[in-house]
Amino acid sequence: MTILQLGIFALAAIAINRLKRNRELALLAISIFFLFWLQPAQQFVSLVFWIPFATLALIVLLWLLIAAPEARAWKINWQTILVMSAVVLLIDLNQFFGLDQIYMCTTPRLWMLGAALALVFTADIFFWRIQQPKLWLGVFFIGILLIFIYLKTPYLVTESFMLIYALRGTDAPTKIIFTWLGFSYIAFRLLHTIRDFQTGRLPALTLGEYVNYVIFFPTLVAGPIDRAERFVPELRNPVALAEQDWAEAGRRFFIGLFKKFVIADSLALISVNEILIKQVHSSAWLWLFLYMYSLRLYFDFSGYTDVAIGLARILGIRLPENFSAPYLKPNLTQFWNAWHITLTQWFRAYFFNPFTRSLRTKNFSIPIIIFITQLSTMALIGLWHGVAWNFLAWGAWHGLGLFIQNRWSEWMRGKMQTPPSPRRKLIFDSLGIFLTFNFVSLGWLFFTLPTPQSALTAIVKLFGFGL
Amino acid sequence: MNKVRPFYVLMKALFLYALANLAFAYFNPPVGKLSLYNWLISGRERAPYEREAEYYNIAHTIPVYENMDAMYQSTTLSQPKPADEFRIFLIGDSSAWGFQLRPEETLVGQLNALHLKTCAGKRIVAYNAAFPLPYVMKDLLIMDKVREYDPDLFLWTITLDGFRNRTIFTNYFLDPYSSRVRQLVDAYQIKNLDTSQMTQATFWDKTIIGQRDALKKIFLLQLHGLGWSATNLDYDYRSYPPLAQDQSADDAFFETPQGQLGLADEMLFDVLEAGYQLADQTPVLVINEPIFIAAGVNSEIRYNEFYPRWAYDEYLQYLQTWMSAHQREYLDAWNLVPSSEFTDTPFHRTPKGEKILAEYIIPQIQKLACSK
Repeated sequence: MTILQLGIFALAAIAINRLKRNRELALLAISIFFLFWLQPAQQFVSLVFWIPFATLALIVLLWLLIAAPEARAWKINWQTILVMSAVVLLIDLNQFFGLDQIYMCTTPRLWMLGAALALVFTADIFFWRIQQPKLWLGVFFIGILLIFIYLKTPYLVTESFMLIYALRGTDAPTKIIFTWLGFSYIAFRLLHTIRDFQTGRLPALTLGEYVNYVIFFPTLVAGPIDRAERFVPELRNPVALAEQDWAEAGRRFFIGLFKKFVIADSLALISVNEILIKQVHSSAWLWLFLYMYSLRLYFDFSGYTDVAIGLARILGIRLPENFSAPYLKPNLTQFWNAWHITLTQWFRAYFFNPFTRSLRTKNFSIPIIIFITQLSTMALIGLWHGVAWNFLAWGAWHGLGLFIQNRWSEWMRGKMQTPPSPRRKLIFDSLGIFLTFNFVSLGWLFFTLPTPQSALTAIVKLFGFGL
Repeated sequence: MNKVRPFYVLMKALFLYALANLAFAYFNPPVGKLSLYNWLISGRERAPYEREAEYYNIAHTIPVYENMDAMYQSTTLSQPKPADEFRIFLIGDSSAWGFQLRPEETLVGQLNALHLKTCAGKRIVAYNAAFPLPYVMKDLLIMDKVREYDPDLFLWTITLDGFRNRTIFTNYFLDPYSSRVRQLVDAYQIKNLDTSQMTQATFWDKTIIGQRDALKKIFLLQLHGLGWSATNLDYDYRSYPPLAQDQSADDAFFETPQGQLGLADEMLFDVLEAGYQLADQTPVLVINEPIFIAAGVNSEIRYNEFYPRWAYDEYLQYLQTWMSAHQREYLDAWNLVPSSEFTDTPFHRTPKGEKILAEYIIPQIQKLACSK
């Protein structure tokens, strides 16, 4: 995202903050508009419109399955349906207004939009009548996962588009561009609501609340992944902003911009990359560029998070923190409690904990359970970034690291009968921070380089071989 | 704790920012002089030019010539001159800068590899001050700029193409220095250069906001220095096909038909004299640079794709007459380098071609170094 786009986000947040009534509807309209507005260019131009449309359709259909009966009443949802339809229609009508400065995209003909809306409304009626949604929730769960896997697997995307081009009898371009804006985060919010509905933890949500939760514009592109049961109460009763809150919101917003656009974008020029690894002539420089990459990633991602938290604060919503000085943590477990916190919590809640519980019932030893759960959780977190060997290797690197650190801590606990003196603790912590930061930094090589082999080559070079 | 009043904080910040802008415009600080090069990171062997991000110059078509302070502060020639050094600054176009060549392969690199000494025992060290643009007025401006780094001798490579009066280059390279260009034009009575299209920086252009792009480039130049230090790469060495020996039958020189070259009336030979005068006590060794001489079809019409024979011969004659008339010495190396020693254009030479040229000019360099 650009500074201009984030500036427009800030103005939108301030405008909504000033509203005395219908804030939820205004937020909904703005979030939907941004969902369409931010959708990047696609291989087929029409997808720029249809992808956000599909996002909305998916959210509405899923809401019909998970909404509590008291939240499904027409009289409390009609305004939401009207606003959603109106915003989508207005965006489509831009083909007649030609306001390219605001929204530049080829929108579908009106009859096509009408047909699509009719299709969605028909499906709505079908889902509206479902009394036992268990089967359909399973279908949605798997469907969302499949879309997610498809989007995260470049091979599948390329091959499917090649097939389309082959069927159309036209030449395929050398590079396929297909991006579903924010789906990584949208999918996790949708999956979380399905699971929480199944376990009875999901609160009753109106359509407006649900859509606002899933596509809340400050968190659309880079999170954090909030939970509906925490988000919606503040959406209903936004925290009133005192002068101090404005100052805090502004501080987070501007610090975020500075982190992202000044620090991270500068560090990007001196960060390790595939070409640089081949060109560099000393391992000392390579270490420096690796550290720069580590810092860049942190400032980039945490900068976006700060912006999102600042914007949400203006809207009276306190988003969860996503980072807590992760590179200053003395071990890997603490690092993962401080890096992309909401993603880690999501996996802990919906995969790690249930999986650990299920293994415990099967009489595995504790080290085996820890090994399997750490490794599989981190492998999944790796694959969340993309279905590719390098992300899997990155996940495995951290999974193994967490397991080794766990065993080491257990062993040390047995050795140390009394707590260390403050001085020894400082030394241990400093050493731990140094080792953890370097372990994490080496892991980023798997994350950023296209193959595990290239990452291993880089690691070898870092230690002075193969230069 | 004092209560924070966001509105007042915002107003105060805006006021201070406005004040900083006005102060910046008024004092016009030489921010280009601030450089990490030559102390924290290695100085570059030549001016940053390459546009590809992975070659550690100013990436993504962001040139820095708008701020020659920054450009030359990033090179080794901005280092303080040791007492035992005799400094040569090479001025010229892309062939002097060293297209397709690593720094050690360029003319400057070849001269330095010989570890020459003056009669007084000073080390002769050459520095590359060239910038890849064939335009003598740009060379004059650079010469004007790098004088502050205390040269003992200027080597100035020229060719006919560089004397053409091209508005596009005036607007491209000279515009950021319009006031200095006008001063030079007036001081040395340079005819034929149209400065009317050049813009004049306003007060607002000098503020931080007006200078934001230039400031960003200076900052990026420092960051790219790390890549340069780590790799010693500053150029994308692309492969190139050998130059064609066969030439077109067209005998025009850039759409100029035979007989209308206008060497005296349209071209910028005044700049040459301006260069000698500007250098003042510092000797200037002008070298008419080698060109590729084709031997295939139509080679009786053209020397190469740039020069038809009539135009280049006319230029050679005029240059010789001009130098005699102005009592200036120069070296004519136009046919010195065999055609096999050119790379991708009729001017860019191979390392061997550079070595031939270096060996040709060394006696003259030593003569000038000893006479100083």
